[in-house]
Amino acid sequence: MCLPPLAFHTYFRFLKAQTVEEFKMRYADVLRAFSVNLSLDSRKNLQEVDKAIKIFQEQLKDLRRKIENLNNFLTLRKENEEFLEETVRLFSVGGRYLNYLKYTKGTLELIFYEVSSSAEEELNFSPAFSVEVVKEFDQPLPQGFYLRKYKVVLRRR
Amino acid sequence: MTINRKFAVWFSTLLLLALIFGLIVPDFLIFLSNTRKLEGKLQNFQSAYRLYLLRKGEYETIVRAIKETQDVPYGEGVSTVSVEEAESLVAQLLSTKKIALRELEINNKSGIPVNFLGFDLGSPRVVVRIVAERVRE
Repeated sequence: MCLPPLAFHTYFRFLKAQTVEEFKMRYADVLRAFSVNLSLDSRKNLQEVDKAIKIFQEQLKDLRRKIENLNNFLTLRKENEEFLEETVRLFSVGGRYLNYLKYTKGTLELIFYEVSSSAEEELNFSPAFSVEVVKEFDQPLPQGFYLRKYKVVLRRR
Repeated sequence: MTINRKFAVWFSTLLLLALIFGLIVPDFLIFLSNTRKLEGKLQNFQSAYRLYLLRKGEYETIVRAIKETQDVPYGEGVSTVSVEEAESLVAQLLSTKKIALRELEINNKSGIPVNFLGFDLGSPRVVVRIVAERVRE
């Protein structure tokens, strides 16, 4: 008398096992990454997957925060890179001697001396900055040289 | 005591039907519906996870590329360096990608390094102040 229910039971069990195996194959990488073990108990499966999804959401939030940090860092970096490049370009011309440099966010203040043989000043800056040049002194030296002192303030436009 | 034969047949048939339709079939139906829900969840989960791995990979590549650049030998805060070191500092800060400056101050106001007397007075010191942010993992 018990044979038909048992047969049904066995058959359904077989179907369940097959489905679970198929799921294990199809979603192997997520299941392995979060060590979720699918069993024949469908309610427990749902619970485990929910738990894994919660963990994953935490990880996602973490990554988002990290990426935001990195982006902030890179923005800051890019900003001061432009100012540093401008400084290096300015001092690549020979005969300029740095006296004082102060960089704060968006502003670069430079005080430097220049020894040059030309009578007029030649200071070129990139058009990305608004520049404020104050010549503190300009003094002729022997043998046709000039000694000048500049104060330059660069601001991001 | 005799068992009513008719009753026994009826009873066993009903029990059988109750077992099949009352326990086994509902159990399987619940399994099927739960499995359908599970499949939807896993599909979303899997695609989201793949995207996550992709973005994480990108993030790690960028951080690794930044970390491979050479470091600046000065830490944050105030330090005193020689003129030669101060000259190369700006170039170094430019070449490394590990540091994003918040503030930088190079103070050489204490004097122009000219040695009139011919004595070696030691290389003049330049005060450097760095406030920076370092890349974090």
